[in-house]
Amino acid sequence: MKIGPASGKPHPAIIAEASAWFIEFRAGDVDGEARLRFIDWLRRSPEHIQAYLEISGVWAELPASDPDGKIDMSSLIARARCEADVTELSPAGSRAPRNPFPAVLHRGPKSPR
Amino acid sequence: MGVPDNRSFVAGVAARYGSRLRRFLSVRLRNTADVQDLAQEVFLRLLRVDGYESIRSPEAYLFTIASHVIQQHAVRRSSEPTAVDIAAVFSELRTSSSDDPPDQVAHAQRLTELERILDHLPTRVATALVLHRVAGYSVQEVGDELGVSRETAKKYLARAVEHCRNLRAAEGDTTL
Repeated sequence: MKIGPASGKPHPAIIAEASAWFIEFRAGDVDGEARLRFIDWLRRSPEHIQAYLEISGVWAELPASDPDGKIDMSSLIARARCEADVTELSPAGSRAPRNPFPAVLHRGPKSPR
Repeated sequence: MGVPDNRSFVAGVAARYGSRLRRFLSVRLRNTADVQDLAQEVFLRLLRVDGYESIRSPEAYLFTIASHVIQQHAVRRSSEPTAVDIAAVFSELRTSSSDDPPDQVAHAQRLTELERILDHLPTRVATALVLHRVAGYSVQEVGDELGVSRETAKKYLARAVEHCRNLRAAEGDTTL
């Protein structure tokens, strides 16, 4: 009998859970009771631990500043604000839908919307 | 051996020095829940002392015993497995390399890489990530900026970081 998951591939749903936990900590929203639930979640499976470590690693490698102003923050915000609500996100693990306005971050012609 | 006499001796010491003993213990113990147990042990040892009549200073004697009890308690403690706050360890992972002084070339590369990643995401999700991670907005501020609730801002951020990870996994760790 095989015990545990195939090596190195946490289930997509677990990655989504790990991401949610990670952001809870970023938001400072993990109080005493949530902390116990987090510990419980970590202990449930090595896959959970692996997923959380992966998320932490990915986060650490994201740039934490933009000294040269490469990203046009205000146009990004403006675009985000007029975009339709995206609460219904594609399910975890499925290929994300192609953004209709790919060049989101580049200064350039405004999107047609 | 005058056991009854010994008892009244200990009772007298307890009445006189009991509260001082507890203070003595509580400032020396990390866990105040242990104070009562150790005070008990000090008095039990005092009960077992032979020839209490020859003790000149019951006070000094009491606190000498107390010191021994604390020492032995510390030894017992250190041989127990250390309890680790696993949640604290894991939550600390969140900042890791962002505190390092950025290598400029690598940093520029990461920004370009981020732009590429974000192309695959709905604009709000992408914007939430950039505001929070790159521009340093708090989760609440991200929500305010996008005109959504704090909970929704968290969903966007979770979705974004999940996407970053999945893209990285799909590309076999060669980029980002």
